[in-house]
Amino acid sequence: MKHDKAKLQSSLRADRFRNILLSCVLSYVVARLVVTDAGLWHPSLPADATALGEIIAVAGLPAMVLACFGMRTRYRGFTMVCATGCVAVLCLVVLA
Amino acid sequence: MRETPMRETLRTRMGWLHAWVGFICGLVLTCICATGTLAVFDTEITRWMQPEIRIPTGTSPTDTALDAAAARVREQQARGVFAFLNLPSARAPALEILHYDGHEFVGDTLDPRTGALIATRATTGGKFFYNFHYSLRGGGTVGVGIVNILALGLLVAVGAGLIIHLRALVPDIVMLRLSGSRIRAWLDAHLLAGVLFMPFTVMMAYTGILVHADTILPAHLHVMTAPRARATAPPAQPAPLRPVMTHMRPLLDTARARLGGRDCGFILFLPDRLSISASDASGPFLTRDHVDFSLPDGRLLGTTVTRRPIAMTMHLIHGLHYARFAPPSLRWLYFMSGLGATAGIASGLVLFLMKRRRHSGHRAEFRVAEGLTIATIVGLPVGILSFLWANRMLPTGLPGREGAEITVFFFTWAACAMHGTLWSGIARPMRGWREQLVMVAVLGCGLPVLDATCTMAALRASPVLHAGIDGMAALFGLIALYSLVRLYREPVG
Repeated sequence: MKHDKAKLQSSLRADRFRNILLSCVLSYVVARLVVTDAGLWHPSLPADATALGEIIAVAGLPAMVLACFGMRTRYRGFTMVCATGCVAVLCLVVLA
Repeated sequence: MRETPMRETLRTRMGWLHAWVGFICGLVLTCICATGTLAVFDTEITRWMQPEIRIPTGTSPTDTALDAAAARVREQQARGVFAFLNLPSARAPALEILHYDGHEFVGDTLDPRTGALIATRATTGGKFFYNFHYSLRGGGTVGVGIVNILALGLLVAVGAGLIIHLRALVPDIVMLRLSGSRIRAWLDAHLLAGVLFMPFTVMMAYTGILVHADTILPAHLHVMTAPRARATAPPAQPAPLRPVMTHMRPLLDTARARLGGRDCGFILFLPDRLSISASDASGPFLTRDHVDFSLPDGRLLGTTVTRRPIAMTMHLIHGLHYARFAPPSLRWLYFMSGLGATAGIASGLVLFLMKRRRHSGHRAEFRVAEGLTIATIVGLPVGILSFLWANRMLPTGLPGREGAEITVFFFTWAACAMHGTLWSGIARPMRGWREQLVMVAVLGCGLPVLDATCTMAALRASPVLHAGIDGMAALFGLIALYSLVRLYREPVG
């Protein structure tokens, strides 16, 4: 935790609040993309494919929120979730 | 007041997240968890709330009763009610002709020996708790969505809690210092309940979200985006209802054989055919496998059995959440684990307030939060017990009786919320806690007496059922009494 600096409590609270909001929005968008990708993955069985997407997305959503919010050092959490989102967008482009 | 600079670490960030997400979601999650725990025994609670049904468990339906029930279903369908026939099971010995009223499946109860209608008191029974725990009773899709978001919040809070206590996970299980300081004792209790029941809590939250995942993660299926050619076509006329000319028994025997020996759960009567589905109690996979017969002759049309891996995985997820396959011992384990999970969340709410009382106890937000916590932890049991009392106290022939029971529940709960907030608002929250604990103690310990006074015949017919529900109510009454004594010994606030 060398990179963290001491902050005043009020600014810390505001910073945390902003971060959790951003983490939730970003993680939710990625989870939605995963479900959409999964639905396109198996066109003959869309319901099953979507169910698989939901199984993955629901498990991944809290993990992504925690990673985004917790891994502050060099924004590793945000970077990881954004990378996952980019992969999901690419899959969407390929599968659509 | 001068603020002190704080160093931000992973633990402090996760601590903040655990506390705030846990508290905000926990206020409603405690109610969801508590009612979900009661829903484990929803059928038994319904039987307790309908003491007029005195059919011994294990009574198999006679041919006469099945045919009479089938005729009655068709009669209701002719009147525009989409009814179906629910077959007797080990938990519910009566034949039921049910339809969905927008909240629960309700309808007539028939004697499986004669097929005669049993005049029971109108009640939503245990289904009310089931309905409340996943849709906040009448919340519809919005309610289900809110519950799912809260369950996601629970998973986030559990994850954050896990990160905070990762190094001390095992010691936390064996550490309970009730004789230490108040805050230490509550923290130990929270950790014990949280860690011990964490696998169950995570499993139930995860499977619960997946049951209605489409409310928060809607799918964009191809079928939805396909051109809507049919949408412009004129609506088709409903097919005429064909009579049921065949006997039910041979169809049930055939269906049982075609479903691999699994018991039959319910029969759907469609206009030109009937569909017999496997019982939910027949295994951990909650499938909708069914056998179809044509009407009116009862000719076998086909069997639908799901074997696709992803579909089977979803069936298992549903089965694990609903636990309809569970024998009584496993059902009790679900119940106890549910209570443990509820206690874990509730103790977290108390801890949140205790930690902030010194610095923020004077603030209006804190007082509202404490009032809501009182309403959640003590007011909800008062509401639940009032609901059970109302079942015995309201006249059996009262019009709209089931609605009246629910009104009693919500009215009592709202009164508790107001009472708690009032005492908290004038900086005397302990009085709110104490008075509502007295209510729980009186209502809980009084329920067995009321039950014995009002329904002695039913108590004699099903002593185990009544002993179980009355005993649990009395146990909660005694726990409330014990908590009350502890609060009087250590007066605070």
